[in-house]
Amino acid sequence: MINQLVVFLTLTVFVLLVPVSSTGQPVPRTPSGVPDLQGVWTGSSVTPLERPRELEDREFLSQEETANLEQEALDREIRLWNRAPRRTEAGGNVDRAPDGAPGFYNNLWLDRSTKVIPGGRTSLIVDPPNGRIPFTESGGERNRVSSAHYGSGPRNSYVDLDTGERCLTDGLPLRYSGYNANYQIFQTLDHLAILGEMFHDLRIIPIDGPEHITIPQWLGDGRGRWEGDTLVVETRSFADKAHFWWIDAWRASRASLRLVERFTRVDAETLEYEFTMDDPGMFTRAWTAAIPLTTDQASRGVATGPLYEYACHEGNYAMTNTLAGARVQERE
Amino acid sequence: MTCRNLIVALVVVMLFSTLTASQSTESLVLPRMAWGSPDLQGIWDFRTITPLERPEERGDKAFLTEEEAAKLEQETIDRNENLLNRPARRTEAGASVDRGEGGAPGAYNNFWFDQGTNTVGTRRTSLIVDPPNGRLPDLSVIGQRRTDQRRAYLEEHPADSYEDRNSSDRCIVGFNAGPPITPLAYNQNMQLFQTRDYVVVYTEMVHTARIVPLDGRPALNGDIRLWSGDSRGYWDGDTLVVETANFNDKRRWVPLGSAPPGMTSTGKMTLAERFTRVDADTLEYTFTVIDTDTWASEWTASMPMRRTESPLFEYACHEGNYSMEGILAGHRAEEQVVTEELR
Repeated sequence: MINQLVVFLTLTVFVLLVPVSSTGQPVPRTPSGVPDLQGVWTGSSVTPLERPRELEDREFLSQEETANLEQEALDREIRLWNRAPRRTEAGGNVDRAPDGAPGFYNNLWLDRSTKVIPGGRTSLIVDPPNGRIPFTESGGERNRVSSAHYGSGPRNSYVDLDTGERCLTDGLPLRYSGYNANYQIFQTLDHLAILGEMFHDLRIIPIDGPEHITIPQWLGDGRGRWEGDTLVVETRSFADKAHFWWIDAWRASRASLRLVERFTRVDAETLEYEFTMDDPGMFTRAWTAAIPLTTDQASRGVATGPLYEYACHEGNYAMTNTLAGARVQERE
Repeated sequence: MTCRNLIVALVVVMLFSTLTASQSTESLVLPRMAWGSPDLQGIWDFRTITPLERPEERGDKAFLTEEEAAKLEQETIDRNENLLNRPARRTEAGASVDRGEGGAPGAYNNFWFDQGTNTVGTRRTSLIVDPPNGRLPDLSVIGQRRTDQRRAYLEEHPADSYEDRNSSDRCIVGFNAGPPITPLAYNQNMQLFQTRDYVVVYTEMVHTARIVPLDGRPALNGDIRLWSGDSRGYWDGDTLVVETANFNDKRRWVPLGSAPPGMTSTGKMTLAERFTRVDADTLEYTFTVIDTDTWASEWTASMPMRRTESPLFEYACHEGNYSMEGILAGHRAEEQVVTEELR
């Protein structure tokens, strides 16, 4: 009887320790038994952060709409890849914008996804239910000013430019833009380290460690704790000096921001990533976006492989040219 | 003996053996990961006042006596004390407080330095253990020629552009971060993360996270050249060995403070580092540099890193790099003076 009891208990413990995910696969675990969050993760997709206006009351795309969207993205890639080479000339850039502004990188340098996120949600934002950022009036104004600032200056000094253009950081949370959209996660018993491909700004997050420190930092001070099988990372003490003059002004962290991120390993290839932004001056309420991250880069139609090295500053001739261009304009 | 007595006896024996084990072998029991490798993790402080190269006046003396080491450490403490307590002085244009040789502006004042006050535990007179004279090997013929050319170039073009400044002035790689890591000046900490398949060596200076795969994957193709090279690691007993190649040519790494002007390593340099946890608070770090296009022979240095609880500072090099502006503007002003004198 005792032997049987032991066997029964052992089996029970075993079963309790190895829960399976919703997909039926066991969740990978570290030797210490917690979910293993490690890997090179991409969250690239064609799914926008905010729900497009025309899909106002639609939470999910139909299968057909998903297929159409992905085909359009793929067609665009193929069209750009196959177009005949053209030489950029002074004053006549190949991809010149309608208002005469110089164009952007050509498509070789971009690594855009051609896939909707699994599940087919119409926005990465899951809360509020309308899928849009709940800006306060002043937050919305700040966002408009920032967006208008991009491309129009002032450009008196390098400090007038976007923090990203200066190769410093694009801040938090994890971000999946047109290229270098990978994060590599390392995990030990008491730390999570997240290395971003874009700026190689390694975040070191103590798990169940000491209290937050209050020194303001670019990436704030993140502390992690396990809630069941989810690692919850709370970050505060952001330095009030980040600015992103582009469409991503909501990311320009302020000292009042409280960011909560949740990392849940769902199966061998998937890490569910959720972030909640809470900043009463910017947003009328806390809001949350969910991005399924994958180790299967090919499934999102982006480049496969490890992270590129960090080589932003030394190739940042755009900074010199932007400032030199502004000086020429002044003289004219 | 009843069952309960047996349990009590067993518990007592276990407790006793645990206590004695921890007392008698405390310094020998190395922290280990769940899978058995030594645990090298933590924040490691590599400050030391022992120089990379043996000072010439020490001749063939490889080790300091206990008294000499104590004297050196006390002198450092006294110097720091003096500098901290000296009255505040204001730097004025053309007359820096700590003006250097030849009228060069001074460096930071001592407040900003964090050089440590200890010699290495072995009391060796240099971090370099090979060559046995404790000094960097002679330059190879090709290395000497390149150094001469570079020095001549820099004399003519010290700061035509930010690209004439070295990669640590430009905040691209840290002057003490290597690889290899060499103690100097400030931000002399490294945080190491370890999993079964990877080690991440993260230096406080310039926040370079070097990702070292341990899973036996092949090295990168030689065409891919990187600022911190391409590292692969493996365990040699309880020592982690990290071998690195594929450095880029732009890096021009040298052990700053020990290298003559113009001297730079090449992208052909290879590096072997050995990390050994010798006790709870000490990580022994030894590295061998091979670059025959620079030095006539390979050379090896060794130093202890001490465990610390203080976290690393954040990376904030570029946004505070007003020196770069100052240096370039200063040289432009100098050029203008020369031009006006010629008129």
